[in-house]
Amino acid sequence: MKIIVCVKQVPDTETRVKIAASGAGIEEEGINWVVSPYDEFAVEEALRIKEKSGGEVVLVSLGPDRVQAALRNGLAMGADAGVHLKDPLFDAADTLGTARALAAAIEGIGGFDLVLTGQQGVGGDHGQIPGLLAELLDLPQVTMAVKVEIQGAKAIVEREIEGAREIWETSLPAVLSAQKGLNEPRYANLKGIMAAKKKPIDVKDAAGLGLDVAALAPRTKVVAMELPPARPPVKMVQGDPEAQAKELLRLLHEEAKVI
Amino acid sequence: MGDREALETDVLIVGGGPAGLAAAIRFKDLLDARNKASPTKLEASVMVIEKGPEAGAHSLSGAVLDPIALKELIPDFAAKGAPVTTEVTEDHVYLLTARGKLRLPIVPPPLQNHGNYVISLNQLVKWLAQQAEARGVDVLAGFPGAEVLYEGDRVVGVRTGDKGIDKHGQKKGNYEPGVDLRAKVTILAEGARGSLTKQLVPRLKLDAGRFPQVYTIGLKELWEVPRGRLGKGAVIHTMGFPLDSRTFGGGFIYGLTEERISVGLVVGLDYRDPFLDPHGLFQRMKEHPLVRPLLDGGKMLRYGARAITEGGYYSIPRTYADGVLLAGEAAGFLNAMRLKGIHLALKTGMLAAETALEALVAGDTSAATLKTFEDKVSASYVRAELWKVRNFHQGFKHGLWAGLLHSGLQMFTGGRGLVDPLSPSKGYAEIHKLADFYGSGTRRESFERRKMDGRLTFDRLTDVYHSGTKHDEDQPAHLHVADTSICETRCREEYGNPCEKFCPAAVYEMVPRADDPKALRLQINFSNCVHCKTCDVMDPYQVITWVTPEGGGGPRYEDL
Amino acid sequence: MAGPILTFAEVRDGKLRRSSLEALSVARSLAASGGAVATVVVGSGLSEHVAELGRNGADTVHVFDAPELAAYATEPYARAMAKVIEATKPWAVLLPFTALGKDLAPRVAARVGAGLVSDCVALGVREGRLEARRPMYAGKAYATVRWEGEPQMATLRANVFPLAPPDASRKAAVVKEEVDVAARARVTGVQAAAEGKLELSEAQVIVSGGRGLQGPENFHLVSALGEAFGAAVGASRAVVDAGWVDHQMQVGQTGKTVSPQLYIACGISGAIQHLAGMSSSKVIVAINKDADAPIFKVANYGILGDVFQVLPKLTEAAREYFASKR
Repeated sequence: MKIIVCVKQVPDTETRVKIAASGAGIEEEGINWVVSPYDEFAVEEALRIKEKSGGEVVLVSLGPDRVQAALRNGLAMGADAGVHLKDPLFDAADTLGTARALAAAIEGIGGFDLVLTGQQGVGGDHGQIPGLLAELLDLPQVTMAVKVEIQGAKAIVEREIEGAREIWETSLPAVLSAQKGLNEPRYANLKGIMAAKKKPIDVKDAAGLGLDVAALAPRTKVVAMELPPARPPVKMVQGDPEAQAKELLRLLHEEAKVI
Repeated sequence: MGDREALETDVLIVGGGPAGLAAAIRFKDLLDARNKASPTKLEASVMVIEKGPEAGAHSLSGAVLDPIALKELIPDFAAKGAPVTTEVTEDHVYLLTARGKLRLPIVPPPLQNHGNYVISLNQLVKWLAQQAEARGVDVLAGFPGAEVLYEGDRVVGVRTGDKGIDKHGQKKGNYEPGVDLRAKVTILAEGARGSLTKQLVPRLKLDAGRFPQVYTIGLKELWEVPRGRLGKGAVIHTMGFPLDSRTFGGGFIYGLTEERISVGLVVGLDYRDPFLDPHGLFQRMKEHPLVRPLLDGGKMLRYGARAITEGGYYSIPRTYADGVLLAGEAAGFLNAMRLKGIHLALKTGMLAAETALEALVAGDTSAATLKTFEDKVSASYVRAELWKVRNFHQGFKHGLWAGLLHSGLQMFTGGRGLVDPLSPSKGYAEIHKLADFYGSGTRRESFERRKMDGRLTFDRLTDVYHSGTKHDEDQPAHLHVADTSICETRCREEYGNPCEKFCPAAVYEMVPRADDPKALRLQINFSNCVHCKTCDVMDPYQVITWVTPEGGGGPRYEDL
Repeated sequence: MAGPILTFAEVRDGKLRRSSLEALSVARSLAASGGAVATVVVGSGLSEHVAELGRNGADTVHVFDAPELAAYATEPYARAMAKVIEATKPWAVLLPFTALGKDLAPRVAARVGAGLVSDCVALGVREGRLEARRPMYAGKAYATVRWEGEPQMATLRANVFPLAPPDASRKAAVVKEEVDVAARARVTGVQAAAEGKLELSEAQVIVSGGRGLQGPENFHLVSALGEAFGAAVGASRAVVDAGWVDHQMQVGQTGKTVSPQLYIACGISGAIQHLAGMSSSKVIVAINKDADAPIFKVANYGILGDVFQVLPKLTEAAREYFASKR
């Protein structure tokens, strides 16, 4: 099996968010960049499939030079090769533009049986890439997978929905996205890290992918970024415990509207 | 264990700090130079392992750098973008009392910093790691050295820590056994109180005939302040308040940029007061009229703490044995009088690399060959510098005034002072029992922690948060207490559980027992640990052993 | 507003989901100036839903009713949406941000080449264009997003947008539609989710306990409150370190960062690590007997009192409240 995994580099979830001077993004200085945890599930699943049925795992990541660290991380876990999509044109790309670049790269790699992604990139949390990719590549998709079993030319996938689990059957090749619970990603071991330094990373720009400005023109744009509004001062609920309990529930229902 | 892998390398360096990275860089440069000059090519690999999540993440210092060694290591360091740009512009030394300050009219020569730089060690180490990697060195962060591998008494490498062990000691799904890294020469460059060095030195009796090592703890915060508070490159050292005259130590305030100030306190880990709380004293120092105006209205950005070796020349163990060398602060190369160790770490790392390469070329890495390391150190400025201050810390045994007198005498006598050598005692043995220090009737419960204001002063948990420290909680505690019943009974009565005070990260806590609320049990909040090693040094019963946690755990220092 | 506003109505187990009605309510309010609202509904045996969609704001309902469409499948559902989008050229397209919507919306967006904004918590019209607000970085920041071109596609977070009361007099025009039902990926079975502990990071409501509970033997008070709220149960680091509860339940520091709709902190003083892990929760309730506890600084509602007295009363009251809502 040849499996392609898309990995995104994201700010560590513990990042203290500061709004950038532009007012339309976050301050990137001092951010600790990590591989999006959902993408680690995807890489792990790809490696498990490869270990079972042989084949090859190729990683694709889009972003500035720093994303090579994300690719190296996946290569250290055991992936075979990486493709780094890098172009100033990608900087302003929205989810659709990003998916077009990824799809072009995946088609360029070719000969694959499976495309795996995380269900969402932590931080942005759009959760669009899997569906966008599947449509652009004209492939079936199963998103939010918590279990994947390859059976010849098809895959049996369990997908988590509200309060239930669906069992899907899809032909291959297909696009699958990984939900938490799919597996527990391995640590990159020492040998893996050293071996990763020698594995190839192919760098491609927009022109190399056959994409022009029009294809990448963003359809959506963040025009402002703000910190959450400051909380109003605490409202102390008065009375004896019984009265406090009743009053709290009333406030949560009528005022805060959360129950 | 059948599944444990082994890897071979020629030189293995434990610790990606200034000493270890200088060794790696020097080794590659010398190898390169040799191969260019010699018709026979020598292939030799060098690997650095580091317990932190990245090189520099566990590196903490004041810091003022004497660039002497860096100039030798990478002469064009400025052109290569080294974060060594803030030259010292002014030097001040103050003697503080609770409310007042006395500025010393002349700055004592050891504290004169003309030509030195105010730096962030964390940034310098990151940069050094890039320089090493550019030379083809494998710098492997997130891999602690868990134990030394021996063949007889010969060191043949280091085993890295296992990953994926749960808190009950069971293997998790992602268990990854540590690897046996086998090397012809192992250079231990772990920094102060290195956990492998601590195993190795007594086993090979490298400390025979040497004085015990003595330590201090340094605590530091990085502040962002309005411009104009302290000049860029300004260096201030303080003595006295908040320390009493019997406690060794002092404060520092450095202007890193126009808007960033490093402020810190160093406290000798040979103090007497069982209630002494270095973190609390550090917070109090910031309230002094000299310090408060510098910080008021600013923002604390980062916090860190680290033990420092202060024993000096007479406390340095033998630095070589079969297959192994000790470099940097792991061996105790630090000039306590000048408050500087980075240049000595760099230099001893470089000398260790020279020694290792010569031994590889000779095909003999036994102690007999590696002994040349000691000769190289002796012939260098490292020995000259340390020899001059060989009795410095010991001179303070009888307090600040005697210490200052001794320091002065030592300066005029080339380090000899009145008695040479002055013997230090084991720091933890100096701590007094509650009854002896405070009089009978004083109990653990008599200790009161001050409330912090959350603006100028912070409690330990807030500071710990600003160290960026984290550990996967589902792993065994990396702080081994041999016998916790001592904590519950003897230590509580005799010393009032000083671990609760000396730990700058609130790791140790005596909490009521569920079955008997009057009884206390020790709770170890290991995920707070900032890897300073103070507990390992200072606990009066010496029952605490600091071992390496799962790789990548610990603080994540930035700009400190 | 040139074209209509189009929404997708999700049917599950024979019922229209509330989030579909929320999308309709949003569409109706955006179209207040006179635009039309249309809805796509896909499934099998849908006739009864058409009237309900009409009452809830749809002017037109595009109905794809076929036995093969009974179970959700991405490809035919996406084809259906795309067909209506291409035919009606909507100004905006709104879908619920549910498991189905998350799967379907991107596929449709790629098919019609539209910009898609996920997980919106507010939508408005500004200078004739749609403008959305959405949380990012686990609620640590909010982005304002605008679109280029049309349709402007968005998925809406559930339970955030108010439901307009239905208008019994309203009736929708019905357009019967057909679509190729072929699918390469299909649902072959459904299992009810295994009864298990609610995942903290996914939970909408979290009840968390701290050292104020004094011992592990009292932690059941927190669990009981959690059960009454249908909440996931969390804990402060202090009590995890003390070994009262499993570390999986820890909020803050190396534990989880959570941002539920409602976070109830019981006997938690609010060390900065804990606050860092939960302060992006939408509404925070603090129950603590120490008036100086830092947790009150981030709380919306506070109860100054003893957890041993307050928790049982609150549990009882919550059980009654939720029972009355069923």
